[in-house]
Amino acid sequence: MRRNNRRAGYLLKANLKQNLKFSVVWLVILIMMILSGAVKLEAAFVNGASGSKDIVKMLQAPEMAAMFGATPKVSTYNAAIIFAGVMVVFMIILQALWVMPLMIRDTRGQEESGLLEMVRARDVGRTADITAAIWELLLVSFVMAAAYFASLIAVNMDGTDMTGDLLFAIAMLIANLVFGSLALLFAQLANNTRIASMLSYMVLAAAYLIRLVTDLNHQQLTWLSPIGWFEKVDFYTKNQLTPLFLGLAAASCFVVLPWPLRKVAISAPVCWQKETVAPPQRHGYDRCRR
Amino acid sequence: MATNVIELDHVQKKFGKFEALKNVSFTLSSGQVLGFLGPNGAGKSTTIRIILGMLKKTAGSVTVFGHDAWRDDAVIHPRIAYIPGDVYLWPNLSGGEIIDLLLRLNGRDHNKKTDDLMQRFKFDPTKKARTYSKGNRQKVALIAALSQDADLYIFDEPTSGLDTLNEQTFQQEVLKLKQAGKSVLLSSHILSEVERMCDSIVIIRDGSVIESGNLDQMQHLARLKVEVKTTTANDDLAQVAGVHDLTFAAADHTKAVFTADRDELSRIMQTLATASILDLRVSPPTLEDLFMRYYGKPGESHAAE
Repeated sequence: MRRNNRRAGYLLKANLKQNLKFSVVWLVILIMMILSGAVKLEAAFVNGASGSKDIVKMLQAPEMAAMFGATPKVSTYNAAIIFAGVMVVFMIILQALWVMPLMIRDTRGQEESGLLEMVRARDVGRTADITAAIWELLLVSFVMAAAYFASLIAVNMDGTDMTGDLLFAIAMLIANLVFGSLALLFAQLANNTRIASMLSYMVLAAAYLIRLVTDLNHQQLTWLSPIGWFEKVDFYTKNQLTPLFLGLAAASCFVVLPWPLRKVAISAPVCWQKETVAPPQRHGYDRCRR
Repeated sequence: MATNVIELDHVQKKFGKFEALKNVSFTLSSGQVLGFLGPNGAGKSTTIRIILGMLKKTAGSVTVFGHDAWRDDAVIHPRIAYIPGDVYLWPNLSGGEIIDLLLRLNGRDHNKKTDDLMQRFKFDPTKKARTYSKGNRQKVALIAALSQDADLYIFDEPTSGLDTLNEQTFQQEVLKLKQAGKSVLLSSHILSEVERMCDSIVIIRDGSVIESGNLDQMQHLARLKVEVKTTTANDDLAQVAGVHDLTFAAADHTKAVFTADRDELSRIMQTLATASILDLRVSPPTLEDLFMRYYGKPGESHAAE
């Protein structure tokens, strides 16, 4: 294992430097969304303002539930509960749009361009690029979660506590790992970045649609959607941990699954798009295993 | 006795039903510079990737420094310097950072030779890689490879994108490696470059090696190119044994160009002498002549004559 991951640290540093601007811009956007949502909802709910009832009523409408997710059914609403109800789905999708292309670019993208060939010709382990990508995903997700936690603590919405804020931050971290590792899996299964991206976004879209349909009717089926798992946490009310363990388990599976493929050959996609001509000579991909 | 640095024995590589390599066998001895030639799609890059342990062969054996190329890549790679044909870099890193990174990935550090090479290639290491032209990207790979003291250098189209001056600088560096007793595998389309630097060549076509050997021997066995100008017409030449591919440059048939078998050279000269030779130029076949010969027609026999 160590042999196959040798020099992954150097690749991580290179990737971090390469992706710094991209990741910083996304982090700023995400943190601004969290701060903006928290501040606005806190202002709406402060001192039991009348606007808060209108907001709750609006979010409980089927159209809004479809878009943002089902609002938890509690007797008393506060800013924190509404914040979680509105922001969870939205933030997971934004985060996925950040980490999915990042993971695909760091693995399949580098292979497609030929950069990985030059790197692998050196004393670099066969799976070092994947390991570096995973470490990058963990690192940026941790930074993001820490920023979320700090932001929520700073705003101190009505109804929040340290446990709830921490749980929200950790849940968003795990959501990042789920979709980031899924993109990594597709990057190994597909033989080019276009297909890997297409598969990743298709799964993201499917997860959103399943969540949308089941949130309106049959909310017990929301468990079918990876985005739905995080709705089931019921932040700032029940604070369920089961969905988080489910997310961690899924992310772990997505990471472990492509490992044996990697050791077969550089860029060993399981499937590639049907071609009528010979495989691209440049990168010598192995064919679909049926 | 020279040891073999690279040994390929009946290597095959299939991608599903497609046979990229059908039968590739050759060796690179210690201290040798081997030219690896073939048209586009012949299997050169696939062969190089198998040697580098990036692709797993379907059949046959590949050893580098006596170790299996796939299983023992951790032992082999620190002793190899490789330059791919198309160099792509991390766009947001500077050229200098990338060179240092590539050196560190092989357990080496930036050294005086790195600085010397940057100067010789007139390379600016401070700019971001995204601003580099193809030639400058190639220089990054060249400098990183030539900076380290490797035992085996593998170059795949190393001078593509370089201007003439930098090509010469590269050739000088390879000749230095040769003098230092290093082993070099050079895959190139620039046949004059291969001719100048290589001791032996291997020619591959459609996944099979069709010719290999010492360059001097191959040139010696092949026909000579003759250009002759005579006072009278040379119409008899067409009937002389050993004359091939005869063409007349002048309408009066006093200027002839043809290839000649070495064995029949004496008879050919006697025939020419009867026409009173004004000018005679005899040259051994260039590598391009040999190459084009082996790529004449598909399925044609290609034994060196």
